[in-house]
Amino acid sequence: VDELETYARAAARLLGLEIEEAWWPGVVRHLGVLGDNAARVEAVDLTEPGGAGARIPGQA
Amino acid sequence: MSPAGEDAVAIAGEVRAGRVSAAAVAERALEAIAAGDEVLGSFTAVLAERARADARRVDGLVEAGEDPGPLAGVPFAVKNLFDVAGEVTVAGSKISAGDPPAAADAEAVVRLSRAGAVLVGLLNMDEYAYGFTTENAHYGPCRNPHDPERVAGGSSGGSGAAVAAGFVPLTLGSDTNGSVRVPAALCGVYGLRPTYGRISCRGMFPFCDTLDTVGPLAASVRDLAASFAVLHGFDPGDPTSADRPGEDPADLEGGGIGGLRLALADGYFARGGDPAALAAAGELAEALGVSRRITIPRAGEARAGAMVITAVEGAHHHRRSLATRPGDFDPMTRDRFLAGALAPAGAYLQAQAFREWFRARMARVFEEVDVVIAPATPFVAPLVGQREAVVDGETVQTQPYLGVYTQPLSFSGLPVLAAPVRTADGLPLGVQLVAGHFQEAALLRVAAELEARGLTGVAEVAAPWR
Repeated sequence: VDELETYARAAARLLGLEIEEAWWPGVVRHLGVLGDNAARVEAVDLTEPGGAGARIPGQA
Repeated sequence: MSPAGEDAVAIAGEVRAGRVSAAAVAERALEAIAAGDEVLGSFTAVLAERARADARRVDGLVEAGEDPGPLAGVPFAVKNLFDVAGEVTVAGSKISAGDPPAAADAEAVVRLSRAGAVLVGLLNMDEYAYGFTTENAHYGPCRNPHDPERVAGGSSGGSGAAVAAGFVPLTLGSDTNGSVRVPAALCGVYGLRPTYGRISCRGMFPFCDTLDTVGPLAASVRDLAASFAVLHGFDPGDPTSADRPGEDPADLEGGGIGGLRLALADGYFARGGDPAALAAAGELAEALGVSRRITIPRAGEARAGAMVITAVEGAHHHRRSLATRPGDFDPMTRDRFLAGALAPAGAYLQAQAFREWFRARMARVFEEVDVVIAPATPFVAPLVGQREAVVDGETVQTQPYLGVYTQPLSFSGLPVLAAPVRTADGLPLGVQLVAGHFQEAALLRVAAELEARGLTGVAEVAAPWR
């Protein structure tokens, strides 16, 4: 059990999610993909010109 | 095209003139669906009774000499995440199938019906719109009319297939990450993702509130324009609706591309796809004499951010069902929603912060150009059940990878039109036309020019499945 799965199992308990053992490999795999995506976003320097506000966008 | 080979505008013209009745048009659509959809699986419900009643109402207006609306008698169908009065909004799920029927039509359905269009049914989709192939575990896969061994795309797969098959000339889908554009491309029809907030989402089952849009799929550019004309506009009942004046329908009817600054997207959008998919965009640009190239900044990161936001917001909507009946989700959906539920809040917030940065950068791009041309999907429709594909020598997961070119563009809330082109092997592909916020008219002008020159268009389906 790696760190990601340890985190995921703890978070699931906290949220009251009962995840069947057979589902864990898929859930952890998708969580890993999300982690990779989040890291890729985190790496962007938002102080570059263009605006660095954290306002939730969407209202065009 | 419709079973009679006509697009929506042609049908409405005939009905409005009294040369054909809306009732007859509706019956033809119902017959075509009954004859052909058993193989394709594009419809999950056919609303014959409502269609006949709506058609009678339209015919009554024509007989009384009253205006039946610009889409009089046009048969249409909607993705089954739109509320339709008296029907359960299943949103492709087993879980929501137990909900009570909707009390009223979704706003988009109201607007089309008010314009005289006749609703004939509800369409197949990926569960809760989370997918790009419409291989639905509960309602079966939606197959591609050009080759039933292949998927129709998703998540609005039924919406693409029903138009391509000629069952109806007009459908509604929703587009969060590409769910109108991917099926439009793979089924070879036109599709429009409007500017975020441009068409009311009221009465549409939410997937990801800060990315969701409603979009039409159609058999011709003028059908897209005619439907967009009646669909768009402020709705105070939708908190995401943009409060700004509507377009004059006359401004949506083409008019050539003179004065428009066009460019072909390079960098991210010029790699990572099959040669045919990349060539399609380049060939259209060349045919229009477009030599300018433009780089969409940080497109890969934009796709990554869209994936984070989608998973987290989507999971949030389903948190109760994830806790109480996770086994009732489609397995392909469940694992991703569960992962989204477990993702830390900081990842979501940073993705939203980056999104604001990206929107500002994209606004700068559209200070320099008016319309950008880009591929819509990395390859033609995969086979039903195909999980992997090889692109540039690398193995990719087919399902999520279908959104590689659509997701970065949705992330900024820009309007995007998918136009169909045909490959050498006869399967459709699509090209995306992207414009600045609220510039749908520019997209329709370019698309109309491409269609008029025969560079894009809906291909006839051989229909061996009939």
